[in-house]
Amino acid sequence: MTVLFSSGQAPGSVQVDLRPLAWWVRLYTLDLLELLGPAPDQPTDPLDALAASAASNPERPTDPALARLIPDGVIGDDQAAMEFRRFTHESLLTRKRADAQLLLDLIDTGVSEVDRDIAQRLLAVLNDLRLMLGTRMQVADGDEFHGDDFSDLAVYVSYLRLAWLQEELLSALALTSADDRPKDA
Amino acid sequence: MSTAPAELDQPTAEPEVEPDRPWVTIVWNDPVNLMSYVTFVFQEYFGYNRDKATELMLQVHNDGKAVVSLGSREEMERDVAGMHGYGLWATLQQDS
Repeated sequence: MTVLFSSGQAPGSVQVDLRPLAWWVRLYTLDLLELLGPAPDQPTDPLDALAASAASNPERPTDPALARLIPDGVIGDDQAAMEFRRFTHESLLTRKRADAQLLLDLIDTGVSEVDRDIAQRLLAVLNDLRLMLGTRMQVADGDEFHGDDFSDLAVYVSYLRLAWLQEELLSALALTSADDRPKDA
Repeated sequence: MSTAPAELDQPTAEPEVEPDRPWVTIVWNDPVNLMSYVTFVFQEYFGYNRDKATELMLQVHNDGKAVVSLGSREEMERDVAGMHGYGLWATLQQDS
């Protein structure tokens, strides 16, 4: 079995080699980037940027997969949910786009040693890919396959392989980690 | 993990806001997220030890949700956004 993640040389780092998975992980990552949509044009003037951000009123995405990736932060109070979304929606999208791009870059790099923060972002984007596929397949509790043709099955197998990748990366991180890290400042 | 809770589309009455009651961050169960990943996120983001993080993960899994942090409204907004960054579905509300 190919080793994709192993402990790196530097303390807490993980060695990553995604080349064996390049073609299909890339495919779904490009799919994820398309789902997240293009980054909006940023006004060069910071005051304009601030005004644009305050004026923006992002709505809950109609695509169920995108709605799962950028979910409501409040339930039962539409006003509060909208307010929460106004301040988090765009920054969350920006972060997810950057994480997806990071994964594409790592696939292109071949073998690389990444620190714990990068490894965490990798875990997050692997999770985003599973959320996208799982929502589209309407995965319910338990992992059984509900599709009715082979293209569904191919997506389902990729979904399971992404879970396996996540577990592998979690194991590599556990081997390098000091227990009980302090809370982020 | 199991099915996400039904979403509440119907508008509800204006919630009472009492300044002395703390706010909480709730993480909801989800059929996609791995139990090991959820435990990892609770350890990394909140700094909980493995036992505490596992206990909270199991509560999410078995009860459908768990309160994972408690504090001011601003702190909970930050935690909910933090959870969304990891792909966990979290919401904030004033503690009942």
